[in-house]
Amino acid sequence: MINFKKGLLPLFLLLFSLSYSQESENLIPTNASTVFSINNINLLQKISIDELVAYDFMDELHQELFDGSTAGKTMKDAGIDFDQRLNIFYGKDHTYEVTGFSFGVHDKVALFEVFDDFEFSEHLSNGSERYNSLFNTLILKGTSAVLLRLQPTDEYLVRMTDSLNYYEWDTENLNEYLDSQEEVFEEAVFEQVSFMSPNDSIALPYDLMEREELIHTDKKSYWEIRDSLEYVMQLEGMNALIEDLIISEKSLVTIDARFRLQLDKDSEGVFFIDNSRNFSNQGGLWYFQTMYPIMNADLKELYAENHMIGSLHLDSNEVYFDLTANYGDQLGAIYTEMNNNPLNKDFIKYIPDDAPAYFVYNVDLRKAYEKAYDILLPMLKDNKDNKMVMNLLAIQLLDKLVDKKAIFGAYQGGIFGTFNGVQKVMTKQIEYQYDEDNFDYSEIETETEEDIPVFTLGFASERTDLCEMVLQDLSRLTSRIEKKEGYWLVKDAILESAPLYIVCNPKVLLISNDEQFITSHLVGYGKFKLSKKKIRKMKKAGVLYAKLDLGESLNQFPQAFLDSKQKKVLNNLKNNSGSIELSSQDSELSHTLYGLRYSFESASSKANQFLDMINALYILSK
Amino acid sequence: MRLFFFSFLFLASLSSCIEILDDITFNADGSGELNYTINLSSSKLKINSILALDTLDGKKVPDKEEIQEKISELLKVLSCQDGLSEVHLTEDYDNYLFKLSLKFNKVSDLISGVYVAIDAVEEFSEVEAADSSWISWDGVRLSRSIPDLNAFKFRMNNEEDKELIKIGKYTSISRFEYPVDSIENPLAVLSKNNKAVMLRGSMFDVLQDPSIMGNRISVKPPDY
Repeated sequence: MINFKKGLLPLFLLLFSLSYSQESENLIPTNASTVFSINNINLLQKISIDELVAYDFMDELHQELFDGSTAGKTMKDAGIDFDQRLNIFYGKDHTYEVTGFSFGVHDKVALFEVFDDFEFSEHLSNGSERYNSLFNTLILKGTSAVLLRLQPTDEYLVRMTDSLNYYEWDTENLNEYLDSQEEVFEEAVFEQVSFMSPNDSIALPYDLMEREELIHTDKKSYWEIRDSLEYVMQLEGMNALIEDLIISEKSLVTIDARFRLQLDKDSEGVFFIDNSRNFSNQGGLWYFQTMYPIMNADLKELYAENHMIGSLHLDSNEVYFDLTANYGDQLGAIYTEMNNNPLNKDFIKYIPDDAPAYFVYNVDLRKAYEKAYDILLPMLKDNKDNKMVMNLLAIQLLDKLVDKKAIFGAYQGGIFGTFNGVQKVMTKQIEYQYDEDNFDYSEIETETEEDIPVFTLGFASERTDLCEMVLQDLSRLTSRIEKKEGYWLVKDAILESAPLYIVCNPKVLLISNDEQFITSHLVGYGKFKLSKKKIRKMKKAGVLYAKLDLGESLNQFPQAFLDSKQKKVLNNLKNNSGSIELSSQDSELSHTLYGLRYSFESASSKANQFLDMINALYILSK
Repeated sequence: MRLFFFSFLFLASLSSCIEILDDITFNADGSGELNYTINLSSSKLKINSILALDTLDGKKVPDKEEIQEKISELLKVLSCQDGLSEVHLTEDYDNYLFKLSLKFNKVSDLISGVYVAIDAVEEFSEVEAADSSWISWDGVRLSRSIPDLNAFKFRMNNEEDKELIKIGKYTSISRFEYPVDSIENPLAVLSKNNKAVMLRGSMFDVLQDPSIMGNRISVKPPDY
């Protein structure tokens, strides 16, 4: 018996490890910082490939898949194994941006009828097969596959190209060459400027780069060099990625226990964002990294354990998304001070029950400031950098000299907002009238209607008298600001076309463009305020609560007011009806829990709703 | 004319609903006057909202000051050109209405002045100044077209953008000292005094086929 065990156990372990290693989640690169992993991909069986590739999370891979080979094919027809997860990933560091998805394969022939642009490239040393297309690489490893796209980041590529003195290879003959080409260059310039007056002092119609390109007509231009660099970087980066992921079998699963744990969750999908890497690698912090490299390192430490994990659950007509924002103790100490506050009751009366969308964000900046000061200052004080020392000195002096009670009394941090629909505003436009005798024309002013969103924003403040004082003084400078009964009117404040109203009520400073609110509900909505049921839900939530009626808000909202990212999300959700509710629980030292509930009443399938939600989250997290 | 138009490339390409009015007077001695108007007043809400953004579709949105600076730079270059005089620009940022007027000694001065000015501004150097023959005038016969507006990459991402472009108008007026003798483009209209020819088209049609705004006109000078 013992021998039998001895004989079977290694075999069992071998089989287990083989089957484990063939799962699609093992083909997620280590540098992926955002991952959506769909567990129940049976759900997606009937989704057509065309529909799938139309989603933004497939955008990078889109052009090759969406070429006719996918017409009329479903995921099932594409040879995809529905017993394995579909993992969509994205990652970006200073050098590369990686995108892709991994999945199970049950029918290789069917798969390549869809992925028909891929050509076999090589057998890798461990038997995996590599296929290439113009932009992407597909690796088949056992019964799983991963489609990868790797691009050098624009910033890095430009920096690398700019750093190359790209005619240095010719230094021996460079001077001689430049002399000979200068004549050619001067002739060319002469031709271009020959019709200009000699007295003209305008800039010559060329720039330095064009001059260099003109001189080195037989050498690679800047753009050609950049293209070559990009190509080489892609090639080398992809080889390194394959070596790491496929040959050495180092994947996100093997290096990150947090992600491994998340995969064990029994839900339709899981979500993982490593904010510590997002924090250090993605935009916005270059200033800190350049000016205060040590401070950046200190802050990195603060954010080291910062990651978000979430699970997506699908019910009959609901997608529920629970998300845990994890962080370290120090950040947690700041968050608990900042976030754990009761609902600001002064906000409630200004939210109408029929508002298509509203949110409340309860933070206390004073408490957060005090805690952040206590935590960050000792961390940064170790730094001996001159600029850092001066900055810290300024911060400490301000802390001692400035009346914090007055500052944080004026702006306490709490904020609420309501979207109250859209309203038509009249805008003037210029038209022309022509005289038929001679076609002379005159301008006439006509009025036209435009939609603008109607909103109210409220800020918690103990010192709304300060705002009153500022407006009082400004109104003496401009006739656009007028004091009215109970509010201030700022004419043409919104996009030069619509008025804005400012209400300095005790404890809440209100900014709105809702005429009805100003005329009828200046002290609150009374019986039209939020229902008790809705208030109870809001009270239960922690720092954040938001509710959005899809039909009445997204479909109405004028898109001109959104940036491209928001517009994408809006368009993807636009034809759906139902509601989205976002709430949080109290922050704890290590994490804050958030929940997002998407209840839909749509004719499209559950799978579509599911993918719509994943897509929205993908766009927002990218 | 192209130069002036390029200055508003950003605003116009975003706003979709745009009206352009080009009005050129051709004197018998070959000189003339250009009045070029870009009217974005019907899109001002949209332009204002876009200008309030930092980026749009991944590209930086310039602020009003940057646009004003660029326009004045271009105007300076244009004012320096031989054969061009009385270069004026009226900017109305309340209505997004821009009017350029200038006088030219010869049509070739107008074309070359605009060409040099475009090339002198780095950002526009990639735009081909290929339509150097968009206009010719010998005192009797005029052959003219309009620059290819497709260079401005108007936003036509969706049906809404396309509808707005369809509402937009392009009006081209040619004025002469003497009565018009013949007009080649059947869509052109002659004024009652016989000295001005007008061609109008929707911006959408003009973008689809710029040749619809082409015309050959001859005038009949008095017999001396």
